[in-house]
This record gives sequence, C-alpha cells and structure tokens, in this order.
Amino acid sequence: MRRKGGTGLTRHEMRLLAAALRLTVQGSPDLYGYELFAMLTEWEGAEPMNHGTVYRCLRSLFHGGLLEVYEAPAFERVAHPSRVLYRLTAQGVETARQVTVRLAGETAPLAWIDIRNALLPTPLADPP
Amino acid sequence: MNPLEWGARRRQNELERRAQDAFLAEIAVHWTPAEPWQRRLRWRSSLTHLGERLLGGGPTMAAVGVAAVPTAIGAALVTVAPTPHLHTYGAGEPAWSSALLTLGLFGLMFELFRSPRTVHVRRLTVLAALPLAVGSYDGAATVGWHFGPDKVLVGAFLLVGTGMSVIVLANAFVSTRLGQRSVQLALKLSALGCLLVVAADYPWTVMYWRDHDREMSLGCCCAATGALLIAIGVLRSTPDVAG
Repeated sequence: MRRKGGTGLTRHEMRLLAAALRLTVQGSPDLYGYELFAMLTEWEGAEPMNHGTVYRCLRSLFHGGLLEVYEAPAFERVAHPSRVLYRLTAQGVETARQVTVRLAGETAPLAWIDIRNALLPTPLADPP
Repeated sequence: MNPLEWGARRRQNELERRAQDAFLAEIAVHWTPAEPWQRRLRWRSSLTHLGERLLGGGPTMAAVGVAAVPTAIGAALVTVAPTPHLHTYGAGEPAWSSALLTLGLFGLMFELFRSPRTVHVRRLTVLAALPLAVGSYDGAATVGWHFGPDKVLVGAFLLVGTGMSVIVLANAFVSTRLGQRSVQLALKLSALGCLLVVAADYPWTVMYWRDHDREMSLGCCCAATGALLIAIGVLRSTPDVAG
C-alpha cells in the first residue's frame, strides 16, 4: 500500500482516522471494530472498506501510537465477551485532525468528511 | 481445517490473535451479508484477514521464506542446466556450490515458514546457514572470473558466506544479547550479499539468453529475482532470535 507524504499514513489509514475522529467528536470515543466498519459502510455506500482492511489499519495505527487498545470493561463483556475497544491517543487526535483537513481539501472529497470535526473539541476521557 | 485458525496458531502472537478474534467475532454477530456486493466484500475481507494472520503484526520473515522459493528454483536450474554454448560464460565449477545453495535455500524456506517471527539459530544453522555458508565459499572459490558480473558474484558469495558463518558461530553464545544481535546483523549482511547476487545474475540472464542458453538464463533470472525479494524482506524485518 502506497504511503502518503507528510503523515506517513496510507489512504485507508487516513480514512479510518478521520472516521474515528468523527465518532469521537460525536461522543463515542470508545470504538470497536464492527462499529467502525458499519459506520464506514453506511457513510461510503457502494465502495466501503472491507473489514479486513479496517482491522489491518487499526493494528497499524495502534503500532504507530495513534490508537490505544484495551479490553471492554466487565459489564460490557457480559453482552460481548471478546470485545476489544480502540481509542484515539492525544497524538492520534492531532494526526486525525490534520488528516481530516487534508481529506476535506481534496478536489473530490469523501462526502462524509466534515472539516468541522478537526476544529471541534474532542471529548477524550481516560480509558476505563 | 479452517485456514484462519491454522494461520492464527502458527503465525500471530497472543495479543494480536485475541484482538483479531474479537474483531471477527463482532463482525460475525452483527453483519450478515445479504446482497451480492456484501458477499464480495466478505470474500475480500477474508483474504485480507488471512493475510493479517500470516504476515501482519510484528516482524516476520514469512515473506523471505516465500522469496526463497524462486531463488532455490533458480539455483537448482543453474545446477542442472546444460553447459552454456560459449564456454567462457560458464560459472566455473558451480555444481557442488549450486547444489548446496539449493539445499540451503529450501532449508531456509522450510524454517522460515515453520517459524517466521523468531529465528531459531540451531535449526536455522542445520537447515540453512551451514549449507549456505559452505556453498557460498565454494562458489566464491570456483566461480569464473571473466566478466564484471563474475567478480560481483564472488563478492556476493563472500558476503553471504560470512553472514551465514556468523550465524553458525553464534550457536556458541546465542543465549546472550551479543549473540542475538550478531545473528540479526549477520542476516542483514547476507541481505547485502543478496543484492550483489542481483547485480551479478541479471547481466548473466541477458548474456545466457542472447546465446540461447535458456535454462541458464531462466535459472539466473529466478535466482536474481528471489535474491532481490530476500534482500528486501530481510532488510525490512528484524526478527526475534532464540536458541
């Protein structure tokens, strides 16, 4: 996968970061894989990212220090025994903002990219 | 056997396996593809997940194992190919060295598929490093000295031979940090040797092809291509080292 200049991220990783920022700004900072996949599928319509790629990007962003990973708290594990949650780190938020601005500034930007997400405060709480 | 389970058990570390299992479990619970495009998406996703099982997460030498296949085939072809038409294009007396290199490359392929994330020095020595070291030194001593590519290949053999020898010697102190670091550096040194193989074998590919020595040309081309992929794979990855 070709790396983009500047951020050092692939386009898929940039899309995922922008989606994570959007969900975080909307008040859902604890992300899980299916949620990201479902939201991207809903937003992108006919050509969504496959969920294997979503997972690969999550792993890559985690290793890059842009996401942190933790297991779901006990009360949530009753309904979802194996749920693993992802959350943007401070560095991840900063990079996601840059990426959102960049994607929004493209000639034909993705319809779901909203530059306001890069400007609004991000409700990041400490992980449980 | 489910290939995803097989891949998970053989390739991934525990943390990444759990994370991917959790991810797939969520998908299985919540997402049931109904439309044709969703089924196509599921199929593509399965392939990506399988790739992640095999190659994703942490340094892995699996790609080097794959790259050893064309190199081994190339070395085998050079061993069995008819004598070149123009005698000066012959690579000296390479039969023994090519045979040992072929053996070592197949051993390398086997060992890296068996354990792509951790180099087990003793097993690697027996299966790959020893035959590759002897074959490389033998090649350096016997290869022709008529053309520029010949001289480059001698350098390649010496580098690979030195790298593999260090791995053999590292058996004596593999439990120490120095020993493990030596193995990692020896692999990088061998990768540089592989790059010289590329520089030597592609010109030979052209020369043999021009003289209608098709088998030799194909062998050199395979060896050079595989050596290039091995070099890239080794230079990009620094695996863990164990005894």
